[in-house]
Amino acid sequence: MANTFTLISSVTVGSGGTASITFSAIPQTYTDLKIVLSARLSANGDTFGNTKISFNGIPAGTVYSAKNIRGDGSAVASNNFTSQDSIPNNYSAVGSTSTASTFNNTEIYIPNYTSTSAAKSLSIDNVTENNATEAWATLYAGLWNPASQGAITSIVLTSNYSASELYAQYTTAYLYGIKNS
Amino acid sequence: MPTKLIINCETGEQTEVELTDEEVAQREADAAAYAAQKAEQEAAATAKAAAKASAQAKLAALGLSAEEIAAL
Repeated sequence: MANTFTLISSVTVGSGGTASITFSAIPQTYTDLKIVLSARLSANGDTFGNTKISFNGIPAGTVYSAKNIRGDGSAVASNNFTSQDSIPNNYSAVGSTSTASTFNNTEIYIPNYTSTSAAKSLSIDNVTENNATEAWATLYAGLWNPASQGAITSIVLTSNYSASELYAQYTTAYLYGIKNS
Repeated sequence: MPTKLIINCETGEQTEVELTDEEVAQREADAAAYAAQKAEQEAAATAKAAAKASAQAKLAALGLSAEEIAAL
């Protein structure tokens, strides 16, 4: 059980929106990382969107894999992803047609991020908000397994549902470092 | 031109940088790839639901009750 959570950095998106959020120069002094993301996407024309997650730069090759399970208020489904250029994390963000001023909750947990010899696993817990039947709950288990292992020094969060969408104003992202997990 | 937000965790500095033409092209390619992936997933889900409904109808035709089918 972790006994310390230290806020490393946080950001609130401004009025112009942004295509991606990058945490760079991540300190190597913790054992685990946790990102808490509250996001809404502009101009994507759907109730949901995505937040792709990649480490140490984009693109980083097709070295990511993941499995998800999700529900949308009327059905459940799961998907398997192999040879990806990022963790897809689909159905995770609130889209532009969801109830105005609502945002999703996403928690991304990355243990052992400083290892220079092991692949990096991560788990993701997403829920979207919408005052209608269709809202999404999605869980992911993912792996980053490049040919040459390295510590995670930067994390990029970006959406790829449509090329024109942006993270909307007031989207927030918090990066925590955890010791003694 | 859309921008990207970079937060330097060492210094706390936050910078907003315009995407390059290459990055914009990559976003367009990513969006197209995602649309194809989503269509494939939705088709698979639709086919699975249709197969389930067909199987349930066949079981009902054999005389199983809705409760019995649900219990399988």
